Amino acid sequence: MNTDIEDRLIELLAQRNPVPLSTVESSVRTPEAERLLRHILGDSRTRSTAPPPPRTRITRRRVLAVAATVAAGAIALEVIGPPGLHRGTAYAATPELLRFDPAGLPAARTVLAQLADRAEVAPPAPGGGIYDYVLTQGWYLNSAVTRKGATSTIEPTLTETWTSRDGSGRSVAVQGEAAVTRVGGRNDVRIVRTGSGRTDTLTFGENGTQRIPLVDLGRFSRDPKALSKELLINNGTLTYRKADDNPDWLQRVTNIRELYRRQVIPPDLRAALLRVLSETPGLVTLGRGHDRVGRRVVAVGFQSSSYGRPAASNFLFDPDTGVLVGYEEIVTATRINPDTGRDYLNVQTPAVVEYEAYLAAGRTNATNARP
Amino acid sequence: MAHNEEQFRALYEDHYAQVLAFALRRISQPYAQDVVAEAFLVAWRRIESIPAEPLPWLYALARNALANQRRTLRRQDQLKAHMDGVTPHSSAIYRDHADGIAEADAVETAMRRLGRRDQELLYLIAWEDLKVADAAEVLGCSVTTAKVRLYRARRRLAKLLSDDVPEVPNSGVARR
Repeated sequence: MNTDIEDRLIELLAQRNPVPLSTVESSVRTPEAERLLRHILGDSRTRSTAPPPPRTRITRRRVLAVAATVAAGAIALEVIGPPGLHRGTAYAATPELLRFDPAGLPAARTVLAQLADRAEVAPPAPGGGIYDYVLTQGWYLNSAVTRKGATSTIEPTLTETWTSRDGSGRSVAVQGEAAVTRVGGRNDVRIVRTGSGRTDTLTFGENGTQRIPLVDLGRFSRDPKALSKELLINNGTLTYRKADDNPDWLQRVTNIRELYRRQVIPPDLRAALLRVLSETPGLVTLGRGHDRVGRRVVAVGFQSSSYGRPAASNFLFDPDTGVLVGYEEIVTATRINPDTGRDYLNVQTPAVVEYEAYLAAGRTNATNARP
Repeated sequence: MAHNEEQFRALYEDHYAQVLAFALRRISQPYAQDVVAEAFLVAWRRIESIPAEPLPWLYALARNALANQRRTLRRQDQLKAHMDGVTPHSSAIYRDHADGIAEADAVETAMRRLGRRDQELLYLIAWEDLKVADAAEVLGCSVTTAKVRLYRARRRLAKLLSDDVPEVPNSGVARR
């Protein structure tokens, strides 16, 4: 009898197949599939010991990038040069490394403690209403659009999100950059250049997307010890349940970034998060500098691993308010793909592989308003 | 080389759709396409060792590619946004007009409470319609192990539905 019930459950699960085979049966006839087949078979011909003829060849990594861009409907096909022959130095372009000056600054834990004190008394985010508004500028190596010329473009994405308590809202992402100038003691954020101009708008809860409720920040303790534990618990809306391969401190860092990316953080919680962050192992003071949109920052960092190799993870703060204004990941060691003889990511290390600048946050009453 | 190419073309033609469906059930575009590309690339490089029944082997390659993709995306924190499109628990994508919608909803809810290992095996059986032996090949375990796991996973699922008590995941592996 139990078996009957269990069989029925499997049947019901089968009914919930999100992608029935019938919906993709003819997918092998699509241009994407045919292009992929040609790329794969073309890749094989580069593996012969004789020097290949002077035609474009696609490495494995480029096949993946091409497949992704083809699927996204973007311009496909890029040239990287025959694998294994190291002709030219056609590495993927990555953003310049930021420079910091540590002179006169104390150890990272003290820096964060001082920032926490400032964050606690800083003014709250502007505006009012039911939506948390956040504006970020981000660039991710994996998502970089590639074009002819053997390099990827460094075109960041500006993303505005409006999210309400129940997870409804929308996001608008546009290719472009922002610049920030100080006007009367405040940062004035302006979009100064759009690149491809491509815009993606998403309304949460439509077209298969989920509504992910905002985390109730009132629930979080402001005591760093208790908060430190709470940042490891998945209450359904923080980023992840802790994975086996994630140390606790990495899980906390991930969740702190997640909060800044989606929500308005009140001053007392900002301070508490800084105090939690100050306990990250191996944290060092990087120093003072400017971020990618021109703001003065003070930075701390720690060694991590990213893409399966040593990396540096850096946090950038507004020195006056203690607000987290940016995050960067930099791979610091090369990892060679034995099949191609090139770095897996096709970068020259040290290389920035992602960055995020948190540009503005506040509250609004409509998903087309800004605080 | 010509024979290998012919063999690969046939493999691609016969199984591209199934591998794509496997990927799309677990990750959204454009990452699903990356998973498919990586799986077939590896298949081409191992063309000499394609088994007589290649589909479970291809699923295993896709599963590895998916794990790599998820690791990369997890580090970029983009996985969440993109998984929202096609996740096993994304009820927004279903257009189920069959009887027993409430019943199916309950099964989905219970599935979310299972550990990752249980979920993976049950989805292979239910969505990819694999026999236990083939699911074992995809997961890289023995048939006996897969049978035992399946038995326990089915029991856990049934118990969750009958008790409506949150289950402690057996594997401790995070869902994402």
